[in-house]
Amino acid sequence: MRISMEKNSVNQKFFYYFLLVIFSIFSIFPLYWMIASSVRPYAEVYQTPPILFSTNLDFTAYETVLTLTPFIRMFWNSLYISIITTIVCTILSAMAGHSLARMKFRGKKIITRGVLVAYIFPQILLVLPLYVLLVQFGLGNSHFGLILTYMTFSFPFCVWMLTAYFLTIPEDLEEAAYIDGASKFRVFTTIIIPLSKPGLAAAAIFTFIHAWNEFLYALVFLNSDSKATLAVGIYRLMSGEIFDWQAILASSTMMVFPILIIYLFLQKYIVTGLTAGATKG
Amino acid sequence: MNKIAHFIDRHLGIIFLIPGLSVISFILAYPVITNIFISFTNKHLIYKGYKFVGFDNYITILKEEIFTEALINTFIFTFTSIIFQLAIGLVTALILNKQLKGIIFFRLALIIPYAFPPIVIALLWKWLLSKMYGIYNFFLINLNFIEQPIPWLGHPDFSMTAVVVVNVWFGFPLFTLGILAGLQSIPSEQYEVAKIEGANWYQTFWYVTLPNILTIVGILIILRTIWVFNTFDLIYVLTGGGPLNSTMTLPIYSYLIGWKSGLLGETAAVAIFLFLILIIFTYFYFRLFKIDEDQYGKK
Repeated sequence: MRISMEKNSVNQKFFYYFLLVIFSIFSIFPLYWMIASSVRPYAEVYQTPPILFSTNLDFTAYETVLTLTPFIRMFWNSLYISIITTIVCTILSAMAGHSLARMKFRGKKIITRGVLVAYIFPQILLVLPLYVLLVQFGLGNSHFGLILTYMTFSFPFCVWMLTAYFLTIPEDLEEAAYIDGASKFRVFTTIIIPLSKPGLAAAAIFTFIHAWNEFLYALVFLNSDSKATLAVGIYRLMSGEIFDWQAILASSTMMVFPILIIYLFLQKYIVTGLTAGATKG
Repeated sequence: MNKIAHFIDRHLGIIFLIPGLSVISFILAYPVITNIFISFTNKHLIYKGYKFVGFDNYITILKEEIFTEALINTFIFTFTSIIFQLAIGLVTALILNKQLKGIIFFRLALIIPYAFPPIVIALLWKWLLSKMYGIYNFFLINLNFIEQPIPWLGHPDFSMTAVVVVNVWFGFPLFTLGILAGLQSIPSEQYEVAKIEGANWYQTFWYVTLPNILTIVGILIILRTIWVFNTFDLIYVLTGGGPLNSTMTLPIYSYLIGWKSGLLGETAAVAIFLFLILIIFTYFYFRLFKIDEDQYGKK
């Protein structure tokens, strides 16, 4: 379905590439500079004029971060919080999404709209009442409580995206299965789920990235260092006594690394997810 | 036994909704009601006990100069961010839609900013924009745009510009991908007709491309507006709302009076204001969806 435009002239092509290169530098240079600054000798980091391409590799900053800060502990905290959030959220939203896409019942429209409103809810509005709520139920300063609050954003988003995705699956297959006497549950697990792998993958990836990146809730709800996630840990590194740019950039690089891997290898799911949010799938 | 299985299967639609919806109402509906309740009290973060104060919190806030300042800043921040994100997103999407070689590489390069955690974005850009060691000051001086290094985040004249630039960098990829998806769904027949009719590139864009992507652009604008309006972590870590409140937005203000000053009633009231503004955006959002529904007569 690509548009067969008239052949671009050489001049036009040159102009397009020129613009692409400009915008690509704009978007990718910070990434380069973050990594480049973190893997050079300490003295070169603060050198003026700055050295754009350094040939001296030096990983001292990484060693510092890994041995002198609880980085590994926080990395682990972030990882398992994100994974649990992802699993729970994907399963619950697949069920709810299926229900909204296929079943007929009263109040469906209100629920669909309610999900959308929930999706755009300001985090800052929820942070205070959620804090009160978590403390009331003895979930203050706990990872379980944090995982629960991550659902406020991820669940509505995934339901919205997956409902749109499920609607694109033709109903003929299910009808054939129903005629053969299959139950609704069986149709869901043996037909819908296998056919929706790309949509489910996109939902899972987004939930994971959101939980991995989240800062405000983790900052407010977790107040002990041993429970902190990476986002909060790196922030505390900045506001700590020793202000070491290279250590901050090294830990930032390590925090971005898993997400970059996801972007590199699962790009098509990211595109599915990002556009489903805007185009209704 | 069979009867139970049959019952479950008949009501699977509701049963599938129950777990998710109960979690959501526990962590969303209940907190929101609590928030409205707190906004009418003088509850404090540390001191126990509270009493009802009616609309006092709302009145206090409206009288505060910082609140008005924050309101204006939030609008400036949101709208300049959105305009530039849209412009860059539109241009990049239009080019990515041309069948050029190496487009996959450029698409990846262009969505990289969206991969960054806000905390890393804020710290990284603090480093990039640093007055003493910042590489961007160095570039700008070398290109003769400025003579002296500028304290981008440390001076009230520049801080808002800097924060907007960072936000544009982070957010334009969503426009790129959204608009690209819209462009790719335009039926090629429409372009062929335009070509036969002898339309030039400008007419083709105006009469074929633009009407086809208008809805999606509208949806993107509203969604992004809501998100940018709510931005907290980016500004909080970049400037903390300063210097001299020059980047103080409503979310930051709400956070500071709640968690730094402990005035939970007032913080709740600010959050309610924020929410009311967002409701207006949401209304337009639903309007657009409705247009979309009418146009294609589906869903």
